Amino acid sequence: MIALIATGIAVWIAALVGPDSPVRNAAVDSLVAAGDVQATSQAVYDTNWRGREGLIQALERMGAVGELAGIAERHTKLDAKRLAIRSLGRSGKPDARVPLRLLLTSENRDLAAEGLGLVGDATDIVRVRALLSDDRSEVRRRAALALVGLHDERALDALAELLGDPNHAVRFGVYPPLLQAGQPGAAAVWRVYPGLPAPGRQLALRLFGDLRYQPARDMLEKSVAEGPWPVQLSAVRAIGAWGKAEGIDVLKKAARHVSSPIVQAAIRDALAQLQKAGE
Amino acid sequence: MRANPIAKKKPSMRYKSAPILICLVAAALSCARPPPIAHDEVLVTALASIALTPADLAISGDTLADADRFDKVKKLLENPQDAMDILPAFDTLTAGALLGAIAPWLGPDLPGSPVASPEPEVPEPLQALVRSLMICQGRLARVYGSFSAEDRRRFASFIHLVHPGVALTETASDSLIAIGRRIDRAELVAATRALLTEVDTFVASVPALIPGTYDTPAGRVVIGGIGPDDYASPAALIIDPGGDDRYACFPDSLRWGSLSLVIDFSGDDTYEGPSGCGFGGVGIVIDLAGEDRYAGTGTGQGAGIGGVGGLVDRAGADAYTVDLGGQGFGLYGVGLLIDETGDDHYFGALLVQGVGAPGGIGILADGAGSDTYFAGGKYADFRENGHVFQSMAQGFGYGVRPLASGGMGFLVDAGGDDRYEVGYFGQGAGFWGSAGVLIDRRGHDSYLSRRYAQGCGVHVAVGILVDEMGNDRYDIWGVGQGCGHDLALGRLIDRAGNDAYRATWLAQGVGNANGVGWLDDAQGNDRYEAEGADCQGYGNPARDFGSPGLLIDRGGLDQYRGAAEKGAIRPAGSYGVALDWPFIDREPGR
Repeated sequence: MIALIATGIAVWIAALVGPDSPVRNAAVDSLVAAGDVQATSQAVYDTNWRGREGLIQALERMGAVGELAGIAERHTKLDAKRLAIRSLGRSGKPDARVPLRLLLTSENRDLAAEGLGLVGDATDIVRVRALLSDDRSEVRRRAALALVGLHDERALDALAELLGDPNHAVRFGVYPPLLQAGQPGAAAVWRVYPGLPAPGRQLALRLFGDLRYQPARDMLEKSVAEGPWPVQLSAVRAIGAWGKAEGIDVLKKAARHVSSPIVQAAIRDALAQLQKAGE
Repeated sequence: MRANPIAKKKPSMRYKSAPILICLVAAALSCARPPPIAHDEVLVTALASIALTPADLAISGDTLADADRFDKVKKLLENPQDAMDILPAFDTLTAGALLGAIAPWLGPDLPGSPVASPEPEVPEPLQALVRSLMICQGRLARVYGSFSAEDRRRFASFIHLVHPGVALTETASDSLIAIGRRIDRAELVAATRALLTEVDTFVASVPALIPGTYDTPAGRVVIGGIGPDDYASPAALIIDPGGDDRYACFPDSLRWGSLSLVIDFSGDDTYEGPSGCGFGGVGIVIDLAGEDRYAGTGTGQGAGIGGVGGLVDRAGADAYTVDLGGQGFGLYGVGLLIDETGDDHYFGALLVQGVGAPGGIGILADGAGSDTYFAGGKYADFRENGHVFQSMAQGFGYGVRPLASGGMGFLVDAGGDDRYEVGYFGQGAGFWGSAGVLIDRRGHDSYLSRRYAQGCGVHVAVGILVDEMGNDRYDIWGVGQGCGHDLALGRLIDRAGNDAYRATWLAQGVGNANGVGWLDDAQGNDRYEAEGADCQGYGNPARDFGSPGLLIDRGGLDQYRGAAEKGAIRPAGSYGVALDWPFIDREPGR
């Protein structure tokens, strides 16, 4: 029986090493159905990167936390380590917390933080928060998103602060959860807005427009009139996204004194958008 | 062989004047080139319109850390704006200058103790050259001396590391990679440069030699006659003064630690097999004049495979044919093909025409003349039902995913109206941790490719195409013309001329899967045709953040897809922008 299983796995691995295909997906399904955790994890050491990818995916679906932790710790290939760490989190198993916590000080702490965002508990909030000031943007971004998953009551504040991050991957990475949070997300951004650099302000203005955040209403108008042109541009687009007829007056007024041709063109586009919405 | 007094004035004069000419052309090009942009207001404007800054063009999330990564590639990923900084390394297209330019990229060359060499018993004009050969051999012995017999046995199949027809296990690949990493490429390049300096002196001295064969401490030395000669056996040194010769003396098997040098002064010659190939050693061919044919069925024509391979053709309209791994190909070594003048034809199937595989640098440098470059037609790609071919050519960097980052590949063409054609991968493209660069200095050029080409980086790699002058035409099906895919950088930079760009999808300044793509056209009245919505300054999100895609046109009256007109600034996708500069606001309807 063992020999048969081993043969079966070998066949499936052969299907795993090629490009994406229905056969490859079926091979992963078959491995999961067979449920031979030991043979599957052993095979991770005997195949190429595509094979490893499929096998680790199967282990994730089997919830094989111990085996994944072993691969994360011992495998010599970076791709295997990172895939295993990612799968630890995605397995959804509380058992994965311990190995993920140990990995928070490793080179792959970005993925460990991400994983704890999926399976961690309240005790992990402090650990993950410590990574918000990490040197690597990947770590900062994933740590911020993990705090949302951990239901950190201060997560929105952390995300709002990171709108001012020097790295765009972080700034844009925290935007979707802030948007998803709705008015509390906008409120968190509103609190830090004065201290944000220009690119962060641009995203903040977009958020206020997308969420129609009322407290920012006057500030949007002021930004159109006074900001540097990129901020003016974002404010114009935000007012356009707001979709309220009162924005038409604001933009028409702004059009009379805005000097940037780029902003002028954006005002025209926004006016057309608002007028179309009003019809 | 016939007796020969070797009064080779004509070719020698040609030889002397050629480097001067090349330098003058390079100097003239330097003067004509538009000045660098210190503060790029246009770029800043384009990026600010989508809430980005120039610093945001740095690739985020690059975790590749294998021993094969070139610092130069990492720096380009961190500073995509600095792509043009690589050009001065290719201002002078001589072997010595190019090897000197790339030497720092290979790491420090630690000076060892001098290699002692007695005076060889050869005719006086040969003494200095043969002595240089001996010194070079001594340095090679140091480089290769620490490898075991088992290493050498494995190394014989080294090209399998990148050969698509051979399915190596990862263990076998790792084993070859480990051997490759131990080869001291900086020392190999230093030894080769020293030898080439002596070769320059020798050729310029117009030597008078008597035909014959000499057994020297450097190995067999053969002096040919002025008529047609047929060289069928390997030698350490072959010097041929003239005639239409045939060279079939290049072994296609491993020559561990060996050195071979061919100097042919004139005649329309035929080189068969792996000419100019350093396969575990150093192999150099220098052909000074004539319309030559280089016919290889495997690798060669400037291929450094765990060694240094150099082919320098100084004049004549030449034809080069090779299969896989040649025409400026480096795999844990350096491969260099320089053709200084003439309308030349380059044909190859895969990994040819300026390719850097892991641990390698490959350069194809062509001076004057209208040339044809073709790569592909043999090795099928798995995409599109296998009906297309891989090329991996024409300024291409190739890494072995995920085991070894690729090297750096360069194709530099200094003049003429050239035609470039590839299938999948090429024309300034990089795959997996590598960099591929195509630089065309002048002429009205045509670029044709299928996919992953024309300034395209794929998987933490860099792809750059720079065309400095002329009315050029760029055609691609998809994924290119300034496209970065998966934490990679792709740049297409056209500095002047009325150009035409055509693509179907994911092209013309596209960032994909957290890559950065940037098409930058400086001058001229250009036409941009594209079918898909994912073109012309387009960026999409992945892994929770975006991928900057920029199409910037800095001047001229241009035509774009749709209704875009002069003065357009148009965001596309969630992270892309197309900017036609100078921005002139126009009332609707005008």
